[in-house]
Amino acid sequence: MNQSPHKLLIRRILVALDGSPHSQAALEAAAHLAELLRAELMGVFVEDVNLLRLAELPFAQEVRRHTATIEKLEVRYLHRQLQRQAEQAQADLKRVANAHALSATFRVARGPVSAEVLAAALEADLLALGRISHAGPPRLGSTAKTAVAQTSRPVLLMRPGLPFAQPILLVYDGSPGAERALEVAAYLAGENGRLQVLLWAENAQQALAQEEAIRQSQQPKGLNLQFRRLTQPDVANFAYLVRLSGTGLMVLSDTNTRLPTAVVHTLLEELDHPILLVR
Amino acid sequence: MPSATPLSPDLLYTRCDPAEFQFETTAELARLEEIIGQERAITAIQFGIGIQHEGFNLYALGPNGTGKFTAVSQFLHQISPHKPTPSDWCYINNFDDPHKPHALQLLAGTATIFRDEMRQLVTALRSTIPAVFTSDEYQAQQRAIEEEFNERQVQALDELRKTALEHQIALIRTPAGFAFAPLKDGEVIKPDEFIALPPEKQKSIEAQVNALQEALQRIMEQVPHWQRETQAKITQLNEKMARYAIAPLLAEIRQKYGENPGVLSYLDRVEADLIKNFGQFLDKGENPMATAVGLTSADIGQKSFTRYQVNVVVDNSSTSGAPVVYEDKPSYMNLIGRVEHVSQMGNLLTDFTLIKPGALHRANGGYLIVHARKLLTEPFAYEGLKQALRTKQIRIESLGQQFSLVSTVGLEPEPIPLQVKVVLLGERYLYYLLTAYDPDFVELFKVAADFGDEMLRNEANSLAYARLICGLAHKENLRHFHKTAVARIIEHSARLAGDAERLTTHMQSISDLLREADYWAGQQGHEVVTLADVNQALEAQVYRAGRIREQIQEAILRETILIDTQGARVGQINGLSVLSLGQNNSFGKPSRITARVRLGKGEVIDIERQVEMGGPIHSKGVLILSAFLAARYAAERPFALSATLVFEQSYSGVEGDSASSAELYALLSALANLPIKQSLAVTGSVNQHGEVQAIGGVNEKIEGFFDLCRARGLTGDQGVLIPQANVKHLMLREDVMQAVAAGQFHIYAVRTIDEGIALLTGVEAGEADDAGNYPAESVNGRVMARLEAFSKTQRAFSASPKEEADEKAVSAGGNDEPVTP
Repeated sequence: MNQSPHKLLIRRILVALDGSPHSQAALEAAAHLAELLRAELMGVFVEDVNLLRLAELPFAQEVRRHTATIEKLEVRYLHRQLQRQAEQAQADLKRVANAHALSATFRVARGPVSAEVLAAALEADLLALGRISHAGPPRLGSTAKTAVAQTSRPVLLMRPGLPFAQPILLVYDGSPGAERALEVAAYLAGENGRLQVLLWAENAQQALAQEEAIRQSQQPKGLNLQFRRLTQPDVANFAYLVRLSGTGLMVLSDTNTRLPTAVVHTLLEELDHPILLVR
Repeated sequence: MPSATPLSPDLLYTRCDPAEFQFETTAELARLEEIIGQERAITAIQFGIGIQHEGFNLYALGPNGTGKFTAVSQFLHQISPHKPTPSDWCYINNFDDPHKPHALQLLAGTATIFRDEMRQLVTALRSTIPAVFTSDEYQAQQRAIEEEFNERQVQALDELRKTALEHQIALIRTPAGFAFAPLKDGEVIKPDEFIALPPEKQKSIEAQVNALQEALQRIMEQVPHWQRETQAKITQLNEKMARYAIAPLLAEIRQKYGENPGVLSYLDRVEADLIKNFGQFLDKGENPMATAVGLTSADIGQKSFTRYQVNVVVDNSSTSGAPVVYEDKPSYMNLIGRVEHVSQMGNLLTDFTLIKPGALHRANGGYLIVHARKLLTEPFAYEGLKQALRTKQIRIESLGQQFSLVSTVGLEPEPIPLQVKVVLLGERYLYYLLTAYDPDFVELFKVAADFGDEMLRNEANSLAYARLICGLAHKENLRHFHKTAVARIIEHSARLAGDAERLTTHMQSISDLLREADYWAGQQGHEVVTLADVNQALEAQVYRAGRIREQIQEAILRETILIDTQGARVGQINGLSVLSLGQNNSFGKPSRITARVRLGKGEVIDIERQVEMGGPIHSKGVLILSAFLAARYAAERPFALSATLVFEQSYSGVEGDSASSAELYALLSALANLPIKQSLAVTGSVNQHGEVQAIGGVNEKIEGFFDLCRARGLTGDQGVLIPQANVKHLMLREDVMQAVAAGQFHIYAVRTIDEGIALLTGVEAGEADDAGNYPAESVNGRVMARLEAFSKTQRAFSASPKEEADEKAVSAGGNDEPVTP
């Protein structure tokens, strides 16, 4: 357990912090991973430059989320709010890092959020962030979208309310990318852990072959393997299969994969699932 | 005049001849385990138990040990198996008002089954409900509802976002909400660029932003409404799923109790409550608060399921027929039932599972036997029982509640209908007191079963006694009794009854004697109990109880208490009294009675009464004897006598009239100046015509004087005068009989005072001639003369001219020694 697998060499994990429950979940998950991989945590909080610009506009107003009232948005007020959020983010990072006995660094950046996060991610080996920022739609948020699209590093996308140590879900299609995802998922499941494999195959024969291959490579590790496959693979059916398979962390690869783009898109964007995107 | 002759020995003791018995030992007899000699009481019990009307409860009255309990319980156990077995009763939770638990009636023997089924239901639900709520089906449906809610929000925001983007305006997040910002080249416009825009453009942007903000506001206002809708849908789903899990389990139970509407409506309430509170079956987390105070989560879990429990208060599963319940400690709570409390975190808590039944619950539909004295000495118990009988229901109420002494929240369990026959057992005086002072008692206990103290002594009853001894010996695992022993026991029974022609029905004394005789037989290594063993048991009883009797006798022998047993004295006689020290321990004691006479105003002064040491019956006896005296000897002339009577050396009270004849003899002796033989002792009351009447305790009295005489040495002159009417009561001790047979001791039965005085003085009493005069030398003649002398003297004083001088003379005479003729 203490040896990092050669295919997932991770020394630094960047967590994008914005004070939302999703980013909190990302922080917890990142800390868990960091402990497992003996990595260090890097926290970044970005002051949104768009927001600051807006506040300087003469008519700047905001609609409050909980009271649904319209209030004037003042620059001083906004600065104070952002500062407080940053302090809170730092405190959260410190607390979680201490709890997991990790070393952690924190910094505050100012600029467009996605760009700043991506810039920070250059220094890290894995990027952890909430699927979305503050209670918005369950779809992938813009920052997460940009991160998925524009970085070559593995990405951990988290949502709140789901413990990290559930049976791990693996999306497997037999491609080299999927092999890598399998390695990672097996490692995360740990000895005697539970791993649920969702097979994406052209036909039943192929699926059986995949299943056999995984069994052969993973059985010696004592993994508790469970397989689910579709007779008629299509996007909607596959999404249903994922829904049935519980709510644990889903591991998949979007590079060197045979998965159709629509499937990857659906898995990432439409399903409200915690995902580790292996690259 | 007939003079009294000593009674022949055969009149002193009526033997029971063992030869009359057809058996050698009681082993040959058919056992008799019922009560004998109580026909009247048994008839009353049969009537009282048989009649099915309100208020016909029973009071079995009679002294302790006469077999009231045995008779009642035997009869009840005979008839109860043929009566229907009453229902079972349970207390169940009242889901509307938990402080008022409902009572539930179930067929006999099904309550415990129902209780177990409800317990199993909860156990089953603890696995089925979590299974249903963790099922894929439920999870998928729940997620679908949640996603629908999110979808709605997203859609609304997305549409707004799109509309905004059409106008080059972005929806962006602020720390506390949302804001709209005009864009330029995909970024929020810089403030200086915005200011550089033409004012119209600025205004139009501002107007657009305002419109969008308002639209957003409307969406935001909708969110809580959608949230509520979602919550309602989830609740609906939960209920559906819970019902799905619960319904089949309940249906199984419902099917079994289809004909019991009470159970069905209870099960409906249970179902509704289970569906509402299905969450309790899912909660597995530790409660930190509870852990802190030392409660395990199992406690808490158990606690929350108690409301589905069934508290069986009456379980007739092992009863066949009507129950017969004897409550040994009839306290209020033991009769009516009670609600217990448990202490938790310093508070006293209670619920319907802590309702405990009372004897009335157990006896409902059957019979309850209670000792009246125990009932009356338990605070509020009698009132509680009466209330239950009057209202025909058992209402469990704590005494504190009933008397508004405590105001903490307690339980008010639904009353249970009561149909019970109560049998009170008790002493007679309690019955008479209750009938006199408690109107309720008369209404509620209409039937009295009166147990007698004695029964006729005849051949049939003697045999019944023998069979009873056989039954008792068998029941108590005693040796069998030889027929001589049986005969002796029957004789002793007559002695206990105080009547040679009666037997006692006080079976406790007899069974005690049997046990003791059996013990002595064991000591002697006898296989059957013999006459000797019974005699030894009786002697031992007397010896064990004999300390005071011996002390008194010793005091007399040492002449601390003065009693003469020989010689003759004027105005002094031996009376006989009985001292009673507890059950079956009474003995006779001679007492010296003295009389003195002098001139006076025709009064007989009872000193005992003057100092308030004499009871009313004793005073009455003295008044009767003085009336007799005045009417017989001074009917037509002034009764110029003043006499005093006293029990010498009596330091406690005197009661009863059994010494009135003795007092009269002493008085006559004093008046006639004739000495009375001190070798005789006297008992018997007297009426206004000079007839001697029966008294009680004749055997003990005779034996008391006999013991004293024997201790001093029997002279052959000594004896006792008893009323003729008491001869039939004689059951004297063996040694007395032997002394009488040997002519060393005599027992005289007298009918009249004249017979008695002749015996005591050795002088004829004398019969009046036609003119009403008695022979001068007879006792009566001498008394007459003495009284005449008194009246003459009085007349002489009255003739004196000065009233005052007369008075003085009389009082001067009063200071003199008693006037003697």
